[in-house]
Amino acid sequence: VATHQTTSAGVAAEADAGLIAGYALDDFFDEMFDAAGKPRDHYRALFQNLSAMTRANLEERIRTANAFFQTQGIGFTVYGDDADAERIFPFDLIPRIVPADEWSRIERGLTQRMRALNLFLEDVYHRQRVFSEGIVPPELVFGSLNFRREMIGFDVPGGVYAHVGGVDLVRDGDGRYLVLEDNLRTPSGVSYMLDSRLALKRLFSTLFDQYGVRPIDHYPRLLSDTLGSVAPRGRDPLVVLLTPGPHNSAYYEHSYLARQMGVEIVEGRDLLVRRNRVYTRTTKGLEQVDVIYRRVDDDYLDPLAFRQESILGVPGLMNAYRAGNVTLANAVGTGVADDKAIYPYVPQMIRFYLDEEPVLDNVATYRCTDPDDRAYVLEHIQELVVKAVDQSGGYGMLIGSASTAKQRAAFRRLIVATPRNYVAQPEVALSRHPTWVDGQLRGCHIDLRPFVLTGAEAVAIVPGGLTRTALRPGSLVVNSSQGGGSKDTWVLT
Amino acid sequence: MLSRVAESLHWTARYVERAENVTRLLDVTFHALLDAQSADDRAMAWQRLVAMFGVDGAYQKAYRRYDATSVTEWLLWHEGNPNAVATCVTLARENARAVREQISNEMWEAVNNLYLVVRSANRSAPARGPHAIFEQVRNGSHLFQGTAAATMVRGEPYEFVQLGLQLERANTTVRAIAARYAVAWSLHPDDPVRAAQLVSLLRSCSAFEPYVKQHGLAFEPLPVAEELLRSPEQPRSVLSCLRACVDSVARISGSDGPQVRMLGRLCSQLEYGELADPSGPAVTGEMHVLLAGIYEIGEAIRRAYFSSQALIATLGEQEGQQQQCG
Repeated sequence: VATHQTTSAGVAAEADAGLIAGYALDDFFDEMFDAAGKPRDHYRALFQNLSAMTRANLEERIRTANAFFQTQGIGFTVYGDDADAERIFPFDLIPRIVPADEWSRIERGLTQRMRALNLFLEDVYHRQRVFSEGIVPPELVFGSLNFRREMIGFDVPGGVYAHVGGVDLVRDGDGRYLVLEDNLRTPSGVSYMLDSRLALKRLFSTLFDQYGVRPIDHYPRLLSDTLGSVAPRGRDPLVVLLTPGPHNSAYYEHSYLARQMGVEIVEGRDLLVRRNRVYTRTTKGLEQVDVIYRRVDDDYLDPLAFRQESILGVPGLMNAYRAGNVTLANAVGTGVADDKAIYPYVPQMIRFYLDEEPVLDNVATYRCTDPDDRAYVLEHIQELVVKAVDQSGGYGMLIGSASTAKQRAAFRRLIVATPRNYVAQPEVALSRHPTWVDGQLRGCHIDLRPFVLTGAEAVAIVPGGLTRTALRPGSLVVNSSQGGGSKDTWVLT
Repeated sequence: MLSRVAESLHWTARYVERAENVTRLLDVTFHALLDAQSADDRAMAWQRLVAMFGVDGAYQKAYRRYDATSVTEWLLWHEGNPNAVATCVTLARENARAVREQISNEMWEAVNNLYLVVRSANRSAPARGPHAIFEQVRNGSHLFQGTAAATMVRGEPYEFVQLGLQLERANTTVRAIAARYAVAWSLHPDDPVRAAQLVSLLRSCSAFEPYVKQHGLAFEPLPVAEELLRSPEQPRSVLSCLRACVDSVARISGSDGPQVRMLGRLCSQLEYGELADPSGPAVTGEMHVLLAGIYEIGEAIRRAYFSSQALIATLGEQEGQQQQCG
């Protein structure tokens, strides 16, 4: 293949054969190709593979992958009254590749960030130095819907609040990794990460040979070790996974993780509290529970402490927790640290608690509580992305460049009325990655959600994470609830 | 295993078996009555079938007469009937769905297909010829039980499925005897209806052909009842079903528990006891005592494995022991 520079509107220079022919770069940072249109070194083997592949080859592999997912029972099970169709989860075959040096920086950055966030939570619910030293305005914390006064003065087992964290990373137009948001309550998606790898190992086994991809399939064991390390009693701990039940959209993941860890998956009605101890109801009697990996939100955990109408929870659970007889992972009240209004302060937290410079930067963020920032946001709303601080999954959001005058006016009114509820960010030109869309490879925007496990002794991160991809060219929304898909993520040795 | 899961498995199996039994009893009656003489006899027979499931009062609120169309509709579809085939199949599916991850895919598909077949059946057609739906429900039930036997790991979940199935089966056989024995007994030995009643009873329990092989074509009430109560070879005899329950309970929690003893006592009574008074009313009375015994066993199982109250009581014991140790 002859190497030649292209001057035409951003078509990748060497992309002249096989599936990759005519691949358009436009003006975005592309993971596979550099700005000159040449494949980056760590993508060369994949690039050559795709150059030699026909559409029929790839479609055959897609069919094999789908058959694999179906026979393994992997998918979103849609429990409806009319049909019990299992939808195969949206998945793209082309892997995303991260070189070792990039990953080691990400890993350092994530470890640092999660340590700081855990220290922040400990501080918020104890001495509150972060307020007295003027790092974070106290009203932002006390005004958060996710602040839990029940946690004040309570020492969580092992000193860990966010045992499982999902940190969403994006790359900007220069390829810099930036933190878009932290998820410290019940982050999901790890089963898609593991399933994508299983599928890719079958479909691209020779590429795995060529590349040296770091393994991820020990995640369930790491999670199990993490949960065991924070058990309140010094015996072989009984761990259970608490799910809202089969109707929850992430139930597949709950059941998958429970089976992989060899622990019981329970609903609230399977547990009961007597004398501040938590038990499972089994056919052999009651068994005391030490650690609950809960995938139920704070609000629904205990009808005596939080929402009274909740039937998902366990009456008395908070008392048992505060008595130190059971560990909840994640801890109650972690939502105060992944609040979008707190997010702009994380870099200062890292400096304050760890006396280090942040390894990974935030996306620049305007705080609507700050008068200057607010004025800027109101004036430049058309160039910004406005986000409600208490919503996620792509809801409660205004993308200025794609909005109507009426929508912008509505958001301006909301910002003026309740500035605490909004932050704004410049639109990030997310990096793109070749993705199979409508029978050809197109550049689609991606992000990356690594999963960070924090135990009593150590922080563990399996190399990679869930790469989410928009499945429509041009779309910036990668959430699966909004039509996004997932990719396998290869961190190289 | 979790009590909730055990209970759901138990009831999935029980409701599937009940759907099959209701269907078979309906099928047998339907065919037997094609030979019956008077309209009054037919109405009487239909009434006995409805009464067998203990909801006669509810039936009379919904229908004025006992005839093939009304009773078929009542037993297959009617929402006021807690034992209607459609209700049983829906409940079986709901229980299975709650433990979808704990059963094999094949079992789930069997229950789900049975549900889809029943739900999509043409509800007006059976009055003219219900054989198709009878056959579909029977096949669906057999498919479920077969896949359970062929795909479930032998362990507690499997035993709770067997327990549900066998208890329901024992219950149905006793009810069938209670419904038909006294009628046959009251008729003159030469009355052809007497033999027909006993043949129907045997068919209700899938026991006709094996019985004829062993006893020939002379149908007498007492031998027929004896066979259905205590033959160790008949898979639907009460003794066979209860022995299977003993095995399951022993595998779940050892052979010296109170539930095993309860079941064992009932088995011994069946095996070594005899129907001292073979008159119709006396045997019907005996059957009601037996039904009460089976109900008690169901309750004992619920208390031991499914109910929180019993579990909390075991907690009291544990704490007591801990205090003694400490």
